[in-house]
Amino acid sequence: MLDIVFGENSKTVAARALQAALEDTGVSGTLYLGYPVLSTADARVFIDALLISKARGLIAFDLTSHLDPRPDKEQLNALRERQDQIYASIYNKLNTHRDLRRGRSLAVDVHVVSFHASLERTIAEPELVACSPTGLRKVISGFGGIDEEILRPLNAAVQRVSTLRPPKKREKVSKENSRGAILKRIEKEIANLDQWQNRGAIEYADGPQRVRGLAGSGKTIVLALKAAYLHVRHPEWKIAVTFQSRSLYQQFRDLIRRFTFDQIEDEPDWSNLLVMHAWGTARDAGVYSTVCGQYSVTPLDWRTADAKYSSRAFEGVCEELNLVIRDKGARQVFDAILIDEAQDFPTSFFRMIYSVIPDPHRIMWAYDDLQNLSDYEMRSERELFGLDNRGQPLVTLRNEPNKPKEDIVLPVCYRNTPWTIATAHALGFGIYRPEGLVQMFADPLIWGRIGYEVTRGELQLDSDVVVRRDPTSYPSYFVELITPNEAIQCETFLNEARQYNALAAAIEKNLQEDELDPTDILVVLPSAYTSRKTGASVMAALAKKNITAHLVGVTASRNEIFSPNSVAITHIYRAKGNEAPMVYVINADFCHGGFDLSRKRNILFTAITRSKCWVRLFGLGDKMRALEKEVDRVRAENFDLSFHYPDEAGLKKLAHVHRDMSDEERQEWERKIDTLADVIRAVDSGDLPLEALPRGIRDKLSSLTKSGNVLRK
Amino acid sequence: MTAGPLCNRISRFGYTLLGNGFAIDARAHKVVSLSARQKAIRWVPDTPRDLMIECPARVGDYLSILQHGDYSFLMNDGGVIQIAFTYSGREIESHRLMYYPCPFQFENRELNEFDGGLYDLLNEVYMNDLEANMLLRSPIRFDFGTSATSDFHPASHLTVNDPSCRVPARAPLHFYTFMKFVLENFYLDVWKSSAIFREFVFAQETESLTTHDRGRAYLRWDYGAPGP
Repeated sequence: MLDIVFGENSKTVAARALQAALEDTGVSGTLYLGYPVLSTADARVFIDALLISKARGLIAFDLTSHLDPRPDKEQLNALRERQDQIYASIYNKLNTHRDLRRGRSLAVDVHVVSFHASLERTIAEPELVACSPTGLRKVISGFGGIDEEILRPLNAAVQRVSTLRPPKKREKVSKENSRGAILKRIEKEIANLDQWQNRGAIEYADGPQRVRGLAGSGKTIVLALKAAYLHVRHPEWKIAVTFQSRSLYQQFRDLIRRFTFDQIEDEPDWSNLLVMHAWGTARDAGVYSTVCGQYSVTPLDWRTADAKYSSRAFEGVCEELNLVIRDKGARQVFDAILIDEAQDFPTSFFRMIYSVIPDPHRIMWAYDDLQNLSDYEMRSERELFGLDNRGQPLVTLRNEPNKPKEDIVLPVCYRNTPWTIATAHALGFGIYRPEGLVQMFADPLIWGRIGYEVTRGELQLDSDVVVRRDPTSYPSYFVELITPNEAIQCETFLNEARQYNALAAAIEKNLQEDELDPTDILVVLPSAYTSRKTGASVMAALAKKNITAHLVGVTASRNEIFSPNSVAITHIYRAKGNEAPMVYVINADFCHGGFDLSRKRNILFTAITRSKCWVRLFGLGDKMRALEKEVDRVRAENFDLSFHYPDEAGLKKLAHVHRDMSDEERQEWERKIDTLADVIRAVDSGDLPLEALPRGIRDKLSSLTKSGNVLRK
Repeated sequence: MTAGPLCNRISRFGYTLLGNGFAIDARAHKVVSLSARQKAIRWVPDTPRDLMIECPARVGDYLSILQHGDYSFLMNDGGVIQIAFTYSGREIESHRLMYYPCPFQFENRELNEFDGGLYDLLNEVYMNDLEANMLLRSPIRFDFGTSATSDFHPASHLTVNDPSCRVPARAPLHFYTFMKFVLENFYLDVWKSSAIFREFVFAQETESLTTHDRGRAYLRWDYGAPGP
């Protein structure tokens, strides 16, 4: 089967003709249209199409050379020069990869074919091959295949990811099966883009396009590659890359620079490729402040917006700006924009963007499916961009055969082991919580979208169901290299001191015996409110073992969270978007029960899913023991999630009972609970006769205590 | 006290400030061997940046310190404390102890609600209107070193406002003497906290004043002064 990746410039007649001709030959492999962009010492070289096929090798197609049906000598010379240039650029690029060399030569032959519909006959001279669609089958049948061991590094070299995130050298790894050795193997595996990420990065729809997937599916890398690719093809375009988390700034700059350099051996032109925060300031341009500039509007800063709009600060300023845009008319500000963390942006931002990027509205956004368990209502493109004056959606995403996809899903989660993520969902939803569920998706079908398959029952309301991780949703190396038992473990402590000492001992073992680096470890604190106090205690405990640690994001969130030779400690809100091979969640008991249980279980879900390989939940007392039992139950069920899907009324009740509460509401309930406790104490001690309570209340109390949690099945 | 134990105490003091809610951040400290006899105490990560900053210090210098985590402790009001000692054997050869007050007055509520760190808040919000937001405050630095000693350049001195200002000090300051000075004068509530006071260990300091120094107004303190 021919997997086609539609890059920019893939809609040309020649590209379509090549695609059709190759499909006719029955060749299988990956065909990149409009990709890659390389360079020689003299010039940028656009490769019109590139086929990587196990059976037919590596073939670069030139689609743009002008050829008469019977080319004369001059045309043939020009063609030879063009083909030489293509060959040289590809050869030079592949030759830098050790895995692709055999001795002093390349381990793969580079074939170059000029493909032109009007050629009367095939030209097959040494180092000059050209044919029409009818001649293609015979031409490529003469090419040899690629060895299996070369195929993977060849794909990686073409996709460029292997040089984007060079794995840590891990020079101190000497034991074969240490955690460090396991990481080394995983990092080597992960360098390849999978076919989904491939498509997301290179596939170009020349209009709105959405990329979505679970946290850890590679969306940021895909967006960065896409930005670099577009910039290289159109260096004159104003392309904005934007986000809400400041820490992404440097990540995007690094990724884009390396990819661009890798392709064309030149720096990006940062005056046209604009990596910027969504807001911006008077001194650092952002998307919002840049659009304000275009409309001669003074941008509001966060403080002013916060005073005016409180938690809706950014939404409010975008709404204000949209009124100005409506009044003054749409004006072009950018040629294209790529938006990461789209789920964090208000709708008013998307409406603003639509107005300032003219037709075909090159707006690409990456949407995190389920960053947390509550925000699962992904806004449709209709909601994001609105309707035209005929009541039709301004943007509709379509996936049609033989056309670039407009809605790309990255289904494989590379970050978390299947056991970790199943446990995170189990704890997050309270699936094995004795008191019953804490929350649940309103739409049962979401489970399929996030990588689960049904093993028993039905995924529908008011039904029993058992789901488990679909094996295609995670890479196989997890199963080969890590065991479920090792992936997630819990421990309960009597007091804080013992917890911190155990944490320090565990980290010491990670560094001294497991061959991990301090930057492989992340300590997550569920409560942001107590994070400084807890952070201080953790740092002090680690200092006793001569282990250096630091608090993350205290001063500048743009900085890397990891620091050489230091263990990172972060509260949950700064942990978002980050990951580490070994994650310790301490004081996990905070998330067990009480008010705001949805939020607390969301915190637990987010904390656990920061882990790339191993996660350790530490906590105190009975609440931690109870959490431990929930985890044990997940393990006992072999990481299947078995539950009764609530009906609509049940879902509403869950949402209400475990809702987020304001401080005032919580304090009010705490007062009422204190009063209730006083009443119960009085009845218990005989100070207040039970009969003094109204009958209705006596009966209700009795039925509640008999039935336990009224929400349980 | 030698370099190693002092280094541990400095780190621990920072964690105590942090753990009791008086600081936003505290860095670990480490001992760096400069030569066979010389050891330096510095905060971690040890940036290759020059410790010296221009004086009078600019807002940009303060922000740069925040951005790069170039401090020992970061107090709740954004005040930066830098502790750096160099030991020769068991003796303090030099020190640079600085208190750098935050040039802006912000609310902690803002820091909690803002989606970013203190540097982000100050750089993106407060720097937009310096006239309304900026406070004119000078860093205060206690330096000690004998290599450049001369009249008007005492071995131990306090610098404030201008690089030429070198108010003689009685002796090189022990870490706890410096912290007592900062807390008493700028963070009295912290100084009065028993959790913090418990950490203090006062030690005898060897006088370094010359006759010329004594002829000027100079700073002196009594060894082992009582607490709050």
